[in-house]
Amino acid sequence: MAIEEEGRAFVRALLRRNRVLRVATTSPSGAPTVAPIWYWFGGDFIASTMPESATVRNIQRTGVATVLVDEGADYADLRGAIIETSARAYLDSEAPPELMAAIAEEDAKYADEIAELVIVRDALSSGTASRRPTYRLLLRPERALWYVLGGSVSGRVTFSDATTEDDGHAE
Amino acid sequence: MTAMPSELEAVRAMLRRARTARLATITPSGRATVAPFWFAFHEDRLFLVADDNATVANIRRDPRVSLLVDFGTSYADLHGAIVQGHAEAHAPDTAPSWVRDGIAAYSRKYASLEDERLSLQSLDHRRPRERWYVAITPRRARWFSVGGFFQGSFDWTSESEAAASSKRIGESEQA
Repeated sequence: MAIEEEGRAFVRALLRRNRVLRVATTSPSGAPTVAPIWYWFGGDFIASTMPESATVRNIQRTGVATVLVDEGADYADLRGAIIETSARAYLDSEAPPELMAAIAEEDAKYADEIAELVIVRDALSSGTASRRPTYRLLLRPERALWYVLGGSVSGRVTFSDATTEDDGHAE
Repeated sequence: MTAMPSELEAVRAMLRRARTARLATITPSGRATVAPFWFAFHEDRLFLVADDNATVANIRRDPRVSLLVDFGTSYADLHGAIVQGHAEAHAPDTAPSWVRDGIAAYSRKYASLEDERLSLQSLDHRRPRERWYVAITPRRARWFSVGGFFQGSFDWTSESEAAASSKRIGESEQA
């Protein structure tokens, strides 16, 4: 359906032009938690680097994360998407080679931000926080709820290969 | 670990100046989800108006929520606070007075945008949608700065009681 394709294009464009999103995961107790992550979008997956944290442990346990990417200040330009993803967290030594290759390619694009990250890390490297291991997050969008005009207009789309298989019972 | 009173004050200050909060709730399947809301921080509680039926339905099923405020756009200046708390949703006509007071603070904070909201919502053909007043009572808080390099967490209730009692001691010493 045309609107479905437009919806996916809208969500991808949101992900391409933003740098920070918020990720919700479920704690062992069943309660939700939420954290901001600095990320980049590789076309069909979201990648991020994050120190060991509750979010990383929740992703390792559940294999899923729901992310929000939103923008706008006044009501009329509030728009965004809530995206359900399948999620993995890897140490660099465990990450699949294709992920590390994509990370290297994207690292080159964001060299300025990474330079800032590196000088901050170096400056803080004597702090205890920096001793936590760093994980690479890989989030694959599966379904999204998108909205524009402060939520007055919204729709749902699916991503991934499951789309065609699910046609019979998606509605 | 016991927080310094300044840690609680720093989180309160972030909650006062933030414009948008991201609220995480639990869906019927047990999966966490997250949505953006305007909110007001009033008398140490968080208040928002929701006509998002999914979030309200989630809260009514499971009151545990996590609310994030954050600031900054590059990695190094990312800082903010995450409040874990207990949420309750009230219908406007039966909301207790402390909830109505919080919602009044919300209305003052966003007064300039209300006309715009109402005119845009006339576009929404799913209307009429119910509106709910949501109040969140903090239980714990975490803060982070420099992209998460520095962080801490504390029990909101015990810290606010400790801060209040040390203030009372300070006042009685002055008397």
